[in-house]
Amino acid sequence: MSDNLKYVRKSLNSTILKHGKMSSADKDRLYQTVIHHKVSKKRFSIAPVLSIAAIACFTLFIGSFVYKQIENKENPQNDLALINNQEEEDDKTTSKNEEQKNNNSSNLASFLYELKVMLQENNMSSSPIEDSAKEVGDFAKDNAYRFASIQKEEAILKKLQEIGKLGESLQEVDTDEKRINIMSDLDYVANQLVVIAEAKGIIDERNNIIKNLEYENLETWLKSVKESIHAESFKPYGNREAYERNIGNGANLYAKHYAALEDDTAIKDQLKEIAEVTNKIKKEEGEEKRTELLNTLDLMIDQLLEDR
Amino acid sequence: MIVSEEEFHPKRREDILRELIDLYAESIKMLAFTYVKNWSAAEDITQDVFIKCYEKMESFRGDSTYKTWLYKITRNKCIDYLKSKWYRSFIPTDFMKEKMETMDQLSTEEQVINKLDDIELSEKVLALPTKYREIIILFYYEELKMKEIQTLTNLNIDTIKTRLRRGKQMLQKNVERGYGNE
Repeated sequence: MSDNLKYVRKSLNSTILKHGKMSSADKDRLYQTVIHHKVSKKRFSIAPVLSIAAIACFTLFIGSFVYKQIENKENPQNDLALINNQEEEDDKTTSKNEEQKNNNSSNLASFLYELKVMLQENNMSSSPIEDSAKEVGDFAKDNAYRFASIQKEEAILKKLQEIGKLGESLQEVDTDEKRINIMSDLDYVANQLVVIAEAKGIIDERNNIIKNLEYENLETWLKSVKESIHAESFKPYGNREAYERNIGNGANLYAKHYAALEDDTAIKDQLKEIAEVTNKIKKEEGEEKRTELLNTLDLMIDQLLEDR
Repeated sequence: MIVSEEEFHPKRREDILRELIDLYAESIKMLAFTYVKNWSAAEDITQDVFIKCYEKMESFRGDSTYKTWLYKITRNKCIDYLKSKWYRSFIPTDFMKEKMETMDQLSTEEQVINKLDDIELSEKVLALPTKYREIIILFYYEELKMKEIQTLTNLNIDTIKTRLRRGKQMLQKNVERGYGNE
């Protein structure tokens, strides 16, 4: 390659660079151009213009802001009144919206709870199934369509429509077997909707109440959870992760159950916080993070036991 | 070449400029082309180089030769040009046009073979990345000494040697690849 490069001058001159040759006339022209060139020609650049424009805009923005501030200081009372009125108006609108939302939400959650109670009572009832099925169907259809007409969440809307259709079917079918099947479907869809609605913050605490309890009271349950956290054995589970996540799952259901029954708001809030932590424990796959959450849960239980 | 103060009398400056243009304008234009690969840009750069030379002639202290000084100005102008946004959006076409025209002019078989070798070597040299190409051009084409290249580029000797070696290796690889394709 070094040998080849010795001829690079010849190669370039005879090919690519041969057009670079300059005649005496070219050189003279160049000389004249240089001699008569007074000021270095500068290419127009947009950058400084843009910089100046940006600085001007920024100065105007800051200037107007400062001017407004000064003006506000000069008329503080008027503005204060204006701001207060504005805030009051905003508060009113917000609280109205929230009230409306909570009202709709709690009604929907209550409807689901009442529907589930009706279905359970129907299972235990000794009266003819046809009458009670028609009553359940009527209740399900009317309320489901009513809530569907004001519902904006697509997932909830879809389930409400399903409930409405099942309610209609329950009124139309002619055999007990079909009625039982439809009520079973209705119970299943209602449970699904409870979970969906809960995820959207539409909760009726009564849905969290557990019928057949394993513990005598809140204290017994709390102590049992503490024992489980500190137990060395993880049997009957195959590994520590499954065991710990099950603690989270069970504790989550009981925390929500006791929170629904609790009258003392401070204790109720603590139980809700426990429900949040246990919900994270049941989902957490990372061992380190899970252990951290279990320690938090342990401390929260200590605090709750002490407060009670 | 050391220039005394009396040499900067306007008349004398013009004489020096004329002399410098006669001696170096052509090689500066060609050197510029090896950077920018466009004759129109190379001509503009040559003009700018001599304008700067004329304006700054009084500040030339004679630490290096006029040739090295002019080459240094050329290199800086070319690098500025290559960095400019305008160049980045522009695809140099002169080089390909050059190649086509040269091919058209070929007649005898021997000329064809020689020309093809020359074209290929030139093409490969100009296809190198700028930092390797400039060292190859300055060393092999301009036949400057290492010390002169150092003054011109402000690079240290080891870097220049490394770039020269690396440039040759890349050239070798490109040539082999060319034969492989044939």
